Amino acid sequence: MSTENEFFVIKAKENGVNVIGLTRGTDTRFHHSEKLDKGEVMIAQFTEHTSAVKVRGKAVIQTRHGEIATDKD
Amino acid sequence: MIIATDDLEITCPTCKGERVIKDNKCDSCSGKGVILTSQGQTLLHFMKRHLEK
Repeated sequence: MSTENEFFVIKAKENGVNVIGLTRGTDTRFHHSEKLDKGEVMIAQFTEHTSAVKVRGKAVIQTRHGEIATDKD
Repeated sequence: MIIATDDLEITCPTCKGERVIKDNKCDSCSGKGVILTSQGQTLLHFMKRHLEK
């Protein structure tokens, strides 16, 4: 399975949505964050430094596995 | 252009900015209490680069 060029999209549905990148490797730390205001879109990839992403706040996330909204169960 | 503190860093969601969890340094933010945004990183690197000269 090739993960090259794979990306995902995060669209903020409210102000102050946080997208936090977690480090790849033995220790999992937050190494980066990004604040999105309502309507802002972030297009991101998993890289050699980032192996996980945490999204806080109301947002819609699109990945190749589908779409997920953080405010819906 | 106005840059708010929120644009530069966000409070660590694990320790809620406390820097420690049960007297141990918060692993998530390495005890900083905040996580820098790309804008924060950019400004920090710019300042460091020019202050060192």
